[in-house]
Amino acid sequence: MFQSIRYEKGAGVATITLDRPQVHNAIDLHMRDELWEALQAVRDDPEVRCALFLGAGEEAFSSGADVRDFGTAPSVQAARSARQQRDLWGLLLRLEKPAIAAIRGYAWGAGLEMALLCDIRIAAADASLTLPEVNLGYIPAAGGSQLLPRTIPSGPALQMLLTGHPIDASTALRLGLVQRVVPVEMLLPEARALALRLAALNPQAVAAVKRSLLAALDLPLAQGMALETRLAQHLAANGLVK
Amino acid sequence: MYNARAMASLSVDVQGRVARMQLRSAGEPLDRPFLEEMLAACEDIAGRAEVSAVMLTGNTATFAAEWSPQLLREAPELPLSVCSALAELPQPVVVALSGEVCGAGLELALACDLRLAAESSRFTIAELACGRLPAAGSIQRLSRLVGRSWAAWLLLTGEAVDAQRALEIGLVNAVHPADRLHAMIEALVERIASRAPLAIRYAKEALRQGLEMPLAQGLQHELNLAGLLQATVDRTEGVAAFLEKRAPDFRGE
Repeated sequence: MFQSIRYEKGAGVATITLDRPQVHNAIDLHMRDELWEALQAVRDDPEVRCALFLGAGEEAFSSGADVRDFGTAPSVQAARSARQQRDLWGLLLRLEKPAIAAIRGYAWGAGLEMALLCDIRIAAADASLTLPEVNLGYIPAAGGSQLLPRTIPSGPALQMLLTGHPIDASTALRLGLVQRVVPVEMLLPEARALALRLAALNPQAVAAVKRSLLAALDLPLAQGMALETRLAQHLAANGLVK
Repeated sequence: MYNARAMASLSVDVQGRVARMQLRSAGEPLDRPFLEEMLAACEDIAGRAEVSAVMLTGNTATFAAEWSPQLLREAPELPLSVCSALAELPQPVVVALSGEVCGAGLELALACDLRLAAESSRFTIAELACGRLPAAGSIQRLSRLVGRSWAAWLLLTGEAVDAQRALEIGLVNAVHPADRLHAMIEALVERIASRAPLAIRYAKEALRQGLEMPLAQGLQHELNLAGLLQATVDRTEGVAAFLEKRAPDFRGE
């Protein structure tokens, strides 16, 4: 069914593999179309409780947007309009199910941005992460300039953004960009084990936590607390808290 | 092209895409004439389309300097104006810090985009012990940089943190031996200046301004700025250079 990604479902976990290893899993328009379908499935399928993102092959999670696509949109306005009508990255950001990115090798540009849109990032020791767009004459357009400084301190975020210089797994761990670093051969087992744990959680509670976390980025403290309180009361009222 | 304007305690030198601002202090408090020179220098640099990156350096006395008491009495808004002028430059500003970094010097450093520190540098916020607040908005900048826990610690205890701790908490971006500091800041600034100039400006804008908006708005802001870059010569050149595996030749267009 899919050609540039693989979608596998089992035990509550939807595993989405970016599957263009011959080009370091670069994200082209075709892959974006397929991700749009896959993410809608993740969102709408009640049997899916957790999403796990992987990169095919041994060298990359994803090296980012496929630059061969650049300049192929009919106009800047058309590209912008298409993006707003079908907001793939917004769909991932607002997913009410937990999302894990398991990174080995390159997570560059849109590859890193995709991982940033997930809740949890686990890296293999060989991971290399950066936003290199300024060296190609543009800036991140999948939320990198917004999510990176909301994920790691803004000083290091700005340095990464302005230099495009890659950081390694241990630096990423130190900065808080990834939450775990594991030996390469442990990446898949650890990521899958975590996905299974998250898939077993009460989905309404998970959705409430995700909504709360997203709100915490934006809302003044008092409003954020009010939202959190409402969510907690709703959960309790529905008999889900023992 | 070499442009140098020597001012009393501040010199600005523009070469290629880099503006180098050097603050020379003999330990005197920073006074009104000095601050007005800084404002003028910032205005000049902001208007230079050819400048992609700004390097700010000083001697060890510079970043331990205090705002002069007379200045704080007569023109209390001026320190904030100067720090804002630095922070709001369209080009990113990188500062090299050594020795004791406190008072007005620390406030200027916080207004920069990136901070490199010598191994021996120490950072202190002692204003509270003197019964006052930092004069140039540093509580806001500090908490956004290091988080509420460390901001509270630094402000309330007035204790110094060393360079290593400053690195760990995000107060500085990198720590280097004192004799390597200048080479490292030159390398970092050159690296930034070698990137596409408009992309660098918009990257700074997207990140800095975007952080002051709700995420959804920030994402839209980023998209708008990225859209503006799509039509540039430099983006076409950047992509072509990447595909042809050669160094890009950016024009700033």
